Amino acid sequence: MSEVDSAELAAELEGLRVLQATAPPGPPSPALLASVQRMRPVRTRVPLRTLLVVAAAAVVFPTAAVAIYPLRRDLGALPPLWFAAVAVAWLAGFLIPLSAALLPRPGQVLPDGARARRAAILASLTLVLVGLLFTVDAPGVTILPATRWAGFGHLWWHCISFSFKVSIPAVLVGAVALRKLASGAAHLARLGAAIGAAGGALSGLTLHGLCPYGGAAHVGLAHGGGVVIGALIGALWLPLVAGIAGRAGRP
Amino acid sequence: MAQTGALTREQGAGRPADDGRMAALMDRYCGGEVAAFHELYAALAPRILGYLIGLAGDRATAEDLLQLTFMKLHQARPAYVKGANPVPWLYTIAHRTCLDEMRRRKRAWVRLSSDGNLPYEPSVDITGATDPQPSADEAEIARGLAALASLPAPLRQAVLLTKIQGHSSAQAATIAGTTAGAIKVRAHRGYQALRRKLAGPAAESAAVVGTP
Repeated sequence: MSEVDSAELAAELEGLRVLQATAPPGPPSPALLASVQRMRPVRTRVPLRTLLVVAAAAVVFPTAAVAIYPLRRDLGALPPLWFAAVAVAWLAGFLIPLSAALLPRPGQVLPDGARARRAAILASLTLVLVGLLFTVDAPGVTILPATRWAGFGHLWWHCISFSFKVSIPAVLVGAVALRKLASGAAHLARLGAAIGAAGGALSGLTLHGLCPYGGAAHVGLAHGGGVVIGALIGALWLPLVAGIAGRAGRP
Repeated sequence: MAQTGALTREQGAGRPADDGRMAALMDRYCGGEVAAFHELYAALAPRILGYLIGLAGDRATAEDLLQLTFMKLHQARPAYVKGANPVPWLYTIAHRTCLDEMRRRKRAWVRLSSDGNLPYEPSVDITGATDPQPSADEAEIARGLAALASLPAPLRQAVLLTKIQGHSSAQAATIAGTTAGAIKVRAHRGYQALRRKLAGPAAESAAVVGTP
């Protein structure tokens, strides 16, 4: 660069500066003008309302499960402080990613995709680690899963399938709510990951109170794994469903 | 050449007053006011066109993409949040529209000649007579676009948004869906690469030799 004459460089950079300057754009196309002339007032999006709708979709199955199934039988034998602290972690894992996915920063239209992705990753890692590292069992009361793979896998699938019933409705309702954002599949995938992770965390919170099985591996990989799988389902499905719903609703 | 597309931070992009005006226009547009659409188009179309020219590499394609972008905005009005600044959203739609269209057309961002520059396409007047030589401005724009097109897509977007369109790093990050820090790094790298390319092959080889 030092060999280049500075005056010559300044002249060369003009080539970049003129990119700012373009002739005025043409008028709106006839098709666009026709659509504008035909338009009616629209009801705009209220992010908090979207959040409540998606949260309601996620809460349906856990509410039914709490009403139907008994609480875990070792509940009375577990340290109350630990139980409450872990419940708060699961609840935060639900609320933080969901808010990141659906509430834009003040003054913005789009939720922050980068923030949603960070929230999904953080919730997934944290809740798996909470399960693996901070699970407490009540000896003699908590049922520990079989050490053999087949038994462990059966219980893993049982709890993971529970998380599907929480994550999937949230992702589907979220997709319909966000179908008109026009922000692209990559952005929607990030929002979907956060919504799916939130669903997985709500499932984990429910299982924290219901699942009679303990053991760090079970809680970390089955309950925490629900957050990871929920995030993956959200990232894959939300752009797809939003695209289908968007096309279906277009005149 | 008209200088309507030029917009720096000092001139308006990203200023609160400008943001507030755009939000008010968008509110009225969502309320079904046709005049608000025309005001919004007049205010934003030049900026978006400048961005799309930088992305797509030629004005004709960018004009088509501009119309598609505003059509998508029109269809997406129910997703607008009342009182929010629609400008970053519109840039995001424009970027997405450009990527989709380029993918659909299955062609390169720009067609370069063997020496890495944009080929000269003679313009014609209404009688069909061709312009014998490109003007100095056209040649400069072609060089600038060719240099810009040679950058990797994330660097190109960051340079376009911050150095050329005059957005702050935070606003560019919102548009690009990344962090302000990432935008700063990409814009710096992209601008350095662009300077080397515009300064010619001697500067590029000097930079390569000087790289540790």
